[in-house]
Amino acid sequence: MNAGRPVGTRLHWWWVFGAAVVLVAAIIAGVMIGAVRLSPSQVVGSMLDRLPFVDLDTGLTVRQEAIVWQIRMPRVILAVVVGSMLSAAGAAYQGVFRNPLADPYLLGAGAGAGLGATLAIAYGPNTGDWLVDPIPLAAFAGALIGVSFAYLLGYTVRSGRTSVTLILAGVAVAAFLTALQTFIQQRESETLREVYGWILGSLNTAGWAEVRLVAPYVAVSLAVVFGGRRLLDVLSVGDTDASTLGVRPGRIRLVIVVFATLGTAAVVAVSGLIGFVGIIIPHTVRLLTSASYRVIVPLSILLGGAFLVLADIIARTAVAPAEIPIGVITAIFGAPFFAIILRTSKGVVS
Amino acid sequence: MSTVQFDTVSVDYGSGPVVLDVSLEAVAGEWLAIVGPNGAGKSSLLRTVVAAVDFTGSVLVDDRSTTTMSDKERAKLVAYVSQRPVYPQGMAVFDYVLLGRTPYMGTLASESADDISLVWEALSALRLESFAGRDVATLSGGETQRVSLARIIAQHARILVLDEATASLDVSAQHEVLETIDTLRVSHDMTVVSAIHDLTAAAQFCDSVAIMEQGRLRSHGPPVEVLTEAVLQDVFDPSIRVLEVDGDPVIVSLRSEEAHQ
Repeated sequence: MNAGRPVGTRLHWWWVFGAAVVLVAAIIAGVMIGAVRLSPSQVVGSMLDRLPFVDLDTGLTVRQEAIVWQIRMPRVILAVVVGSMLSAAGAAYQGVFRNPLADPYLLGAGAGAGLGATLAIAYGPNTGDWLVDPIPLAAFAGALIGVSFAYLLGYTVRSGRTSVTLILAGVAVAAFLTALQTFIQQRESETLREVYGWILGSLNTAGWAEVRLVAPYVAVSLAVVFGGRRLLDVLSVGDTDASTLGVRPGRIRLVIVVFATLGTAAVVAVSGLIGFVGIIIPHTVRLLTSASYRVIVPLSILLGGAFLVLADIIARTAVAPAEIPIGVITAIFGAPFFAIILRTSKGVVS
Repeated sequence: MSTVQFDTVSVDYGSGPVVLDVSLEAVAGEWLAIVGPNGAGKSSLLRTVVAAVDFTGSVLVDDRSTTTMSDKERAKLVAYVSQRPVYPQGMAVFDYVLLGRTPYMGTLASESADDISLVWEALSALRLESFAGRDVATLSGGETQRVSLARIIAQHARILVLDEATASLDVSAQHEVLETIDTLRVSHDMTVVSAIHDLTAAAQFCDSVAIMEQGRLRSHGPPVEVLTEAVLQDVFDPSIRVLEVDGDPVIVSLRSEEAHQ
């Protein structure tokens, strides 16, 4: 009865298709580009060859196959996983806190991970002796402890457990943990370079082991954020109004923050503190498509992955054989790109 | 149609009671106005109906306590518009009205075709179809009030709780919104409980008026019985006069002689 009339926000299939195309193109480019150049057809052929019931003669040498599957592909996939997670977590944080400046590190996940990694680097045992590398473990634990502190602090404030109290608690916890981290870093100055390199983020240790390590956390976390995308829209009218619509804002906020933090902590543990992705990707999607989290969350997942793959290409090739920390790249290229989007979009297209 | 009963309701945010022992009833299908000076506890009293504040005593909707219902049950029964609703930047009018369907959806579910057609019905009831794609943050005061009312219609609530819904509107927009509320009340069998500042409007539109003063209920009854000059001068200000135009009370505040000098 309403055919032809404008309906509210929907996740149009062509948006999803477009974002998926960008992601696949980024993945192919990520595998192609490097010290040994490969052609798109070689890469696509090799990928198709891996599908069940497909047997192609890709013409790749054994060495080229190894470069594709043992070196580049795990790194590219890790970039996808990390980028998707940080973007989705950023969108989730912006939604539950109704704050456009929220990013995945807002509640102290970044500062906690930084402190954990610094402790492990400065005082940890020689990593070679361990079955598991203590640095990601310490970073993961640090991130979870940081956010737990912020949540406990924010929750025990008597004068109202609002999202603002929680943000302020996060700011206090992050400042405290960062101060501790800086103190240790200054005392153990021989570790400065390693700590600094870790904080700026890198995907250069990536093998399939890292992908397998973080994938379960990221999968669960993305599933929860994706499932909660409509509830994020409900929260956007404020806690009181949302509660009169039959939902529990505090409970939604807790569940989303817990899972977004779990995924963030996992990816930070293997990639360091890659900044900016969690802010610019959700906002770019918001400016180009819709302010509804039903659109922002799924598209941020796809485009966040693509963005980090592209950033990583630059990070590892610009000054090859050396690498630029990927956190530097995301800001250097992300900031001007975001400025352009901000200036050219009319705000939100509805 | 549904009733709302406040039974010895008190609200205390920790620094003394803001609502104290209020017992009051809105009968089915009526429009009950809560009036009183700023800080008299009107908003807090209204918030008890949607369990948005902690309170003692009980609030019954159709003889059932609102605090023992599930959040979704309550949301299907009672709709609430706060004093300054948030209209999120970039949210389409359609999506805002769709929020009214939230209590009918599963936690992880998306809107069904039924939800969508109910949103269209609500938009049409408020003559907002052509606004469906507009950004709620760019609408005028009167338009946003109509959007809020459309959300309530989509919510299919029996009780409508309005906290100063028309406070920021100009005279004609206020009148239009109040007229719309009254029409919807009748056509959708709703009971309305609203805080209202404009005493003349309260007298014109409401079936009964409850006056609150410093958290307590001062008096309650039909407008002509309750909105008397003596009571209003005592509760609000000695400068209040109740005039009569075409048989309806018109309540104004006069400037004192000295101020004119």
